[in-house]
Amino acid sequence: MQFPTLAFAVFYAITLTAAWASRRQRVLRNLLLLVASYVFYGALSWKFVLLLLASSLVFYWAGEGIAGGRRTGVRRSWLILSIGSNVLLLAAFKYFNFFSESIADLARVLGLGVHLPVLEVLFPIGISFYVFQGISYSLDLYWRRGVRAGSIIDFLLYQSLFPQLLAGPICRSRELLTQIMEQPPSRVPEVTRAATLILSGLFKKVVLAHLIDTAVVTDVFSGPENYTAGVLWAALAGYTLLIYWDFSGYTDLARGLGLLLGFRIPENFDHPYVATDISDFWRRWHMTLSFWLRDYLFLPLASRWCGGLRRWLGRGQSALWGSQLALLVTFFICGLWHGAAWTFVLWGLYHGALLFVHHGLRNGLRLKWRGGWWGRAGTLLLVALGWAVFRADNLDNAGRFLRGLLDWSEPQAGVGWLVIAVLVLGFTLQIWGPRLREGYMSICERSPWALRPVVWLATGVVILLLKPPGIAPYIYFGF
Amino acid sequence: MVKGTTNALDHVAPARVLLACWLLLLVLLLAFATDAARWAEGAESAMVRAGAKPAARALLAVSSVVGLAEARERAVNAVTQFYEAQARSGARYQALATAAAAEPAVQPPATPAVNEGATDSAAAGAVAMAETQFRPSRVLLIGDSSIQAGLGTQIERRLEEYDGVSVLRFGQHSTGLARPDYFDWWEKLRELKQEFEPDLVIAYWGDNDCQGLSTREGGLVAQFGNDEWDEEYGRRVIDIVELMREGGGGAVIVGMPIMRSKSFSRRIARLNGVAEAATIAAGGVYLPTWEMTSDEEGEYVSSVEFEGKLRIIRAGDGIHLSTHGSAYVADGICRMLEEHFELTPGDVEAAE
Repeated sequence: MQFPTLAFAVFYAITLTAAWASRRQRVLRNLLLLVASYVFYGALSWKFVLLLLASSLVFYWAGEGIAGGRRTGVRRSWLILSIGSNVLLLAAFKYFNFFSESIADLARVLGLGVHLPVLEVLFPIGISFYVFQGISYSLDLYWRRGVRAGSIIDFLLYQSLFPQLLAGPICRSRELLTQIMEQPPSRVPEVTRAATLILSGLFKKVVLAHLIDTAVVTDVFSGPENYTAGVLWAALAGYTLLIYWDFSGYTDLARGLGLLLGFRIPENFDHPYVATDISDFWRRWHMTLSFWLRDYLFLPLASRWCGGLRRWLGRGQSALWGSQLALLVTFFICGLWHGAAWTFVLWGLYHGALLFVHHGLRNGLRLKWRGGWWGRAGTLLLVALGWAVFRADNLDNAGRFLRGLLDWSEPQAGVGWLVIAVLVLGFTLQIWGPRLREGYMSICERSPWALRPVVWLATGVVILLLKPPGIAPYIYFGF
Repeated sequence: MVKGTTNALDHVAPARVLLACWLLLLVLLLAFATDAARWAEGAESAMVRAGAKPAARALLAVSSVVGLAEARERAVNAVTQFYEAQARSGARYQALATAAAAEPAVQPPATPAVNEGATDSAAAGAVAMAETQFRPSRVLLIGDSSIQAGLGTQIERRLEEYDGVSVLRFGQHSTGLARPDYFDWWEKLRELKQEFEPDLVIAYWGDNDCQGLSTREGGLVAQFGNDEWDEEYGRRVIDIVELMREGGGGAVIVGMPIMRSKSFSRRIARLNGVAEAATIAAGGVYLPTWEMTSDEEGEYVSSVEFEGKLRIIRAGDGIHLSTHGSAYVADGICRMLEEHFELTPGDVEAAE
């Protein structure tokens, strides 16, 4: 059951009614939402539901052990059980075949005949997101800065709330679990903002993303050697916008749908393509993942390695090199999190290297990346080149694509005015989008309540009319 | 991290929100009444069909009175035509239109004319196809999302390695022969043939065809899984293969691979059987991919030895082919094509 479908609209209307009808009984409301979330997930596969339930139960009971344990050793044991079992689960479903194939290839290169088994598994959509969410719950409890679930129902709902189950945002316990454990509001909060988010998400996903994908991205990335440099650059710009629209469109839908249910889900994107430098980009792109990696991977690694290197490098250098190494490892994990393929790993390492150089220049040599519009343009170019590797079917195609960008020897073909218009619109919206959205909300909020659904309906009709045929799947469902 | 105003005036009573929500849903259901009716007719569960069909009929009746579904269909058709017109100004079309204009098509040997008695003349055509192995130079590759990317790219790449072969590839996501009301492949094929003048058309459908068959107007003709479906689908395959062969060209239908889900596999096997018989009856060539994606016992496999390495050939959903899988299957398809057509591997060094 995908978001922009009639089946989901019916499901959501029923769930919304049940949630608000039971708002005075928090436990009942949470139970109804939990059932709805599992029905939503089960529509993909009932096996996914079992996996989600198993993972959530491990996180919950281990969390109880961590929160209730008095001795550090006991608490640490529960933490290792919680994280270890779920990481193994993630590894088995997502990475087993990738590593199996890679080890077999390496063994062949070394002249060793190795035949490793291949797992026949269905990839559970959303597993990367809910496992990371659960890990944040466990670690926050261990570090005594998180919120302990009031009941098993509350925790299961925290892990499975359907607007953010399949592709995030990754919510900390103090962001979402606290809302689940509070008495529901008596009125629906910020209805106009919710409606605007839903319409914005639909427009980004079903119109803009789908249009640019079918017009130029899919074909070109599948066979880059068939296209001229100009078309490759258009496809690169197209994918740069596509991945943003696809993912931020999903986030907007998740936030809007969550808001109508009475939950404030955190923002995940802050106009990343106006970032002034690469560090700024990662403060704006997939923020919940970025901050998760910072808080649960980078900072612990950096503090451990800074301390470890002090013996050899002295205080200043150890801090610099410790954090730089932690950065590379963090972005290696970031790349791997996105998918079981060397293109993702290479993309992660590329961003790690960019940050490595940026921090090294800034903190080591006291050199500053040029800000302003040149800085923004340079950052956008670097990020876009990374997307070429991210999107490529394999490393060979990535190489062909990047080489093709520089080959201007052939007579250039065009991409059509519609593609150019969408690309220009896309980059313009990075700057003007927030004002347009606030302006739309402001017009709605000033209108009489009876008129607002008419405005929303008219906007929705325009969006559905502009939609190209078919439903393209969400890119981030594959991560 | 959580942004947003806290405009107290925009906190609304739940009853109002729910009323607005249900009214909007009602309008959506009326606008999409045709889709809802089709879904209700084609639902697998008898219980769901029993409940949904009366509701869908009521929606359709109201929608017809209001004219909402019709208005939506007209608007959607206009927008679809606009997008398709824009696609023609895309780079791929430009490059191939230029190539087509520069080189005259090589005419394959004449095959017997297709008369109204399709089976007899088609059988004669099948014999003629087998006997006169011609050398294709312009290959049109069409199908669903597998042709749009993945498998289609790999087939295209391999075909272009043959001497004197140029390829136009067109894939459309979520399409097949079952729903001409959603996407009319007959009309699209005519357009593509007029534009590109291929002498060989290769088609790949099936993923999206294990469902009820509709007319162009959206009415249900036959539900999947019964004899009526088999007959109607077979007729559609014959029809489109004849269209592919119109003007003397060759026609190839590529069969679907095995699926991980046994129930889906059974459905695909049924579809493949119907498609194969109909393709041969219409004088086309049928290339199966079932055996190459299963083991000796006919069971689904997700990995094979390919180019000296163990490769995962299926995606995580057990339906689509992985990148290596697309290359592997494309390789197999091209080897089978060489048995039916004169395809000479090009000089790779000279090409580079």
